[in-house]
Amino acid sequence: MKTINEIMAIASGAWQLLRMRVVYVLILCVLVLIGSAYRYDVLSLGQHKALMVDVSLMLNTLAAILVAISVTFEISRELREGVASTLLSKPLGRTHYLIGKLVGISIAGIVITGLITLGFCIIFNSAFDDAGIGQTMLLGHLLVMASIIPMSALAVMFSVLVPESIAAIVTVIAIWFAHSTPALDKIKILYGGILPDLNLFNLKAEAAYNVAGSISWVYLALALAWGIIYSVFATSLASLVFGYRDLK
Amino acid sequence: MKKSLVTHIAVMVVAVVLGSYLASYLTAQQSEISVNRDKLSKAPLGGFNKFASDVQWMLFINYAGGIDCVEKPEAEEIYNRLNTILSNDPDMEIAYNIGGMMISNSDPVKSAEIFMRGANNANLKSSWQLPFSAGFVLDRYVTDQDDPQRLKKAEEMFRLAASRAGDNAPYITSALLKTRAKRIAQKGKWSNIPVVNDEHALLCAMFDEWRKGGGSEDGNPQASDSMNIPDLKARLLKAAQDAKASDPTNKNILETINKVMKVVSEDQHLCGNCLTPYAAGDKFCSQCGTSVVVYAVCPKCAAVMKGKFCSHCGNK
Repeated sequence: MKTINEIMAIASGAWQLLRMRVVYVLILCVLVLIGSAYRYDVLSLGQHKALMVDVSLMLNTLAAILVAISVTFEISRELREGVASTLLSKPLGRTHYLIGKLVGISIAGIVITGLITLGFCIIFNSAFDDAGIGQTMLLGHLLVMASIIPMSALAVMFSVLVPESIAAIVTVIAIWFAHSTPALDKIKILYGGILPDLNLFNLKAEAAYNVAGSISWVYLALALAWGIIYSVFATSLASLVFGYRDLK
Repeated sequence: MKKSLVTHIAVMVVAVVLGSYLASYLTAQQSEISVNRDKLSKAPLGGFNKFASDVQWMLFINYAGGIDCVEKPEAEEIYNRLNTILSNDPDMEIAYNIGGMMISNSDPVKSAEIFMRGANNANLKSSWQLPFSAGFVLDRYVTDQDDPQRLKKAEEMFRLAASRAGDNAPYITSALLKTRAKRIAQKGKWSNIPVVNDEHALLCAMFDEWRKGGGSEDGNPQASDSMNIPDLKARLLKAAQDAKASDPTNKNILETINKVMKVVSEDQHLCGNCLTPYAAGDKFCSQCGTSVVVYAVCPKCAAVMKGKFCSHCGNK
């Protein structure tokens, strides 16, 4: 219980993000962009329905990436300023610190992407009276929300493994790489085990076309499980390196 | 510290093994969900392939709106743009339809290739327009010099379109029969009978369909390569009449008609001259006036028999 309280105390620091008004302004901007896809009916020759879903998924993914990399700045800042020095006095505390940051940023990310998903559902329902939100569309968004967990784990890992100045860039490159290398998925153990396979959360085309029955709840649950397992690996690796690091 | 190191490594090894196993399972699942994933562009787009194709599609519309007519260079540009769009989203049906149609006149070979690619896409198997357009372009615009197999391919495409459209598009079956007839005419022979003209070839094509359908009235949709052609028997009769009218004395046509009618209209009484069916008791054809063999009349009073006994004189 004490451990959980300790982790949640650290996690609550990451929720500062949710108290910033600019985040909600950005969410509003994202929703305006999603809504604007409705006006593309002529330019897309009637493909605006799929376009709106796709734009929402794309912006939701970008929001998730931005939230994830925000933790690299936060951890680096806290280490530089010595804010976390008391927490990090014991090796066990260092692991808790990283887990706390991961949990905190994941929850913040899920809340932000959840708000975007909710906003999209409202906009889509009002724009297209004849078509409600399909299960596949919703699952596509839930997969994006679930992807925040491994992405945050990558961010936490790189904020510990690489110097502060390049942590965010390396995280973005890693996330981009993890989405773009489906050819590597044939390599067992390496891909999906050591290297992240974020493409598992990418079924945007199926969601955009709302292909009935393509994405199942079981798939979502298993992808979420993979995200958690990969986060355990990434956090363990980060914790191992972090344990040997000299801190001021 | 040592204990912590061992714990960390143990946790990492378990996570890697579990994660790898789960990832390979999910990848297999994903291949089932997204059957065209292997066809996606290998460009590093960060998983935003669909969005990239959407943007490219709107740029394509913009480009298409700016050209006056589609000549060879424009067709080349359209084809390249379509390839880029479809490499990022192979399921965009509208891109196959619009793009293929735009270049059908100036570059029919590429147009047919685009349509066929769409028609063979597993995720677009509910679309009958794509195979129909593919068949249409192959049949009408592609030449034999371009592709000697064009009619065979066109027939396959029309057959695919017909199987997807069901009973709703009779013109697909008409197009299929005409293409089949062209193939027969191209071969020059059907069942060892030299094919004389287009009408003759069409009759042969229809009879082939009749046989494929197991000789049923409206084809046999259960047969793997058979279609549901409404009123096939009536159409065969009409085709036989047209064939005969095209060259009434040609022995090849007459031989084919005999062969066809023997099987198809065994139970029907047809005028020997114009192949029009005639009723019981008729002495002359109502269409051409030729005398016909009278049937179903009472041998005693010559009244038309309606049942077992003559309703006029009671004779059996």
